[in-house]
Amino acid sequence: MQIVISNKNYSSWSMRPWVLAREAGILFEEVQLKFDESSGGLKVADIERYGVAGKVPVLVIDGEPVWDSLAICETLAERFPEKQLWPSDARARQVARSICAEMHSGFQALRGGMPMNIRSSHPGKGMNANSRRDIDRVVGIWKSCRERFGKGGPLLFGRFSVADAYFAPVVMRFKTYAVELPPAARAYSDAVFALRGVRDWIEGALRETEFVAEDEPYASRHR
Amino acid sequence: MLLVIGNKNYSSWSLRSWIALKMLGVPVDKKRIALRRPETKAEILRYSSAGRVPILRDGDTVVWGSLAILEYLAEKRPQLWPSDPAQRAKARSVAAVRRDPRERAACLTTLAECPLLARKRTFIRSHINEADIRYLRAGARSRN
Repeated sequence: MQIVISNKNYSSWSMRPWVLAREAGILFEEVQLKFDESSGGLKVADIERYGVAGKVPVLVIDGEPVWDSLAICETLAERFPEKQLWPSDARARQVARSICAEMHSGFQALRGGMPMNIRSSHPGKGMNANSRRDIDRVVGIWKSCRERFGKGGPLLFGRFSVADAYFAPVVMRFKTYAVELPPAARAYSDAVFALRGVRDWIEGALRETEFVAEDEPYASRHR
Repeated sequence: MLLVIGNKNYSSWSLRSWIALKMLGVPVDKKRIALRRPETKAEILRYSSAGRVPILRDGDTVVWGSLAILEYLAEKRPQLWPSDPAQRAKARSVAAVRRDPRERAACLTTLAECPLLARKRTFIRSHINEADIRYLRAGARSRN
């Protein structure tokens, strides 16, 4: 089984299934295809080999590519039922799926204005009325999940689930852009940073040297 | 069971859940909320704090987002996905791809750039939704 990812510093979609599998102790081979630097982070070299979507992440399981982070997470949850990647309580599970679906298709202002960039620090960058609305919604989701389902641990549904893997890149963004959070959201962020899978991902991100000039003009090479 | 949807003419997200329920023959009440009106947001918020359609209510359970609704229904009626695990994984990939605003934007850009398709405005309109428009307007860069 392989998980095909892109740059750990930038690729928030890659981070989700990778963190999910690593944190859950599912063994996989990592295949990293880095951004083509000349494309401004738009293209991933060689990804066409892994199927029609032409995007990371891809899970290769039984020789077949499965693309899209949510489809990958569902597939992993199904193939490794003993890992309980979704909450076992039915009502909690439906909320977990709903907030992942919401993350999957929403929060454009947050994603566009505050792209994931683990190594960097840009306090205040990207903050505007729309990203503020997205941030408030994220904080609201976290609060509601923690209060309703979080009794058994520090994560959204107590113990680790797909939902935490799904929101991990948002936690990274809040740190990079120094978004102020209420205490409960701060505590949840800390719990995400403490996850082994997340720590391993960050460690990999900090070892990378590629950069997207558009995001980090101060780091541009003079060509 | 209650399915809260947007306009049948515009809301492609709603259509997906509606079709799934229809195909399964599950009896369901429908609440239609007209989109892009001053009262739209408040009306949707009565059903889910996410403020977006589609929303499925089943007793105490509230599920929002068409992919989450599909998975909820599939838990009850597994025939919704192909029974072969590999095919099921592929079906999930395909179902999810069109949800990604970047990919949708890429699709729309391709459509717009193709003169033959650009004339088929109704076709393009049937594939566009509010999230796409917001995304295209925001001019966000497409990157994973």
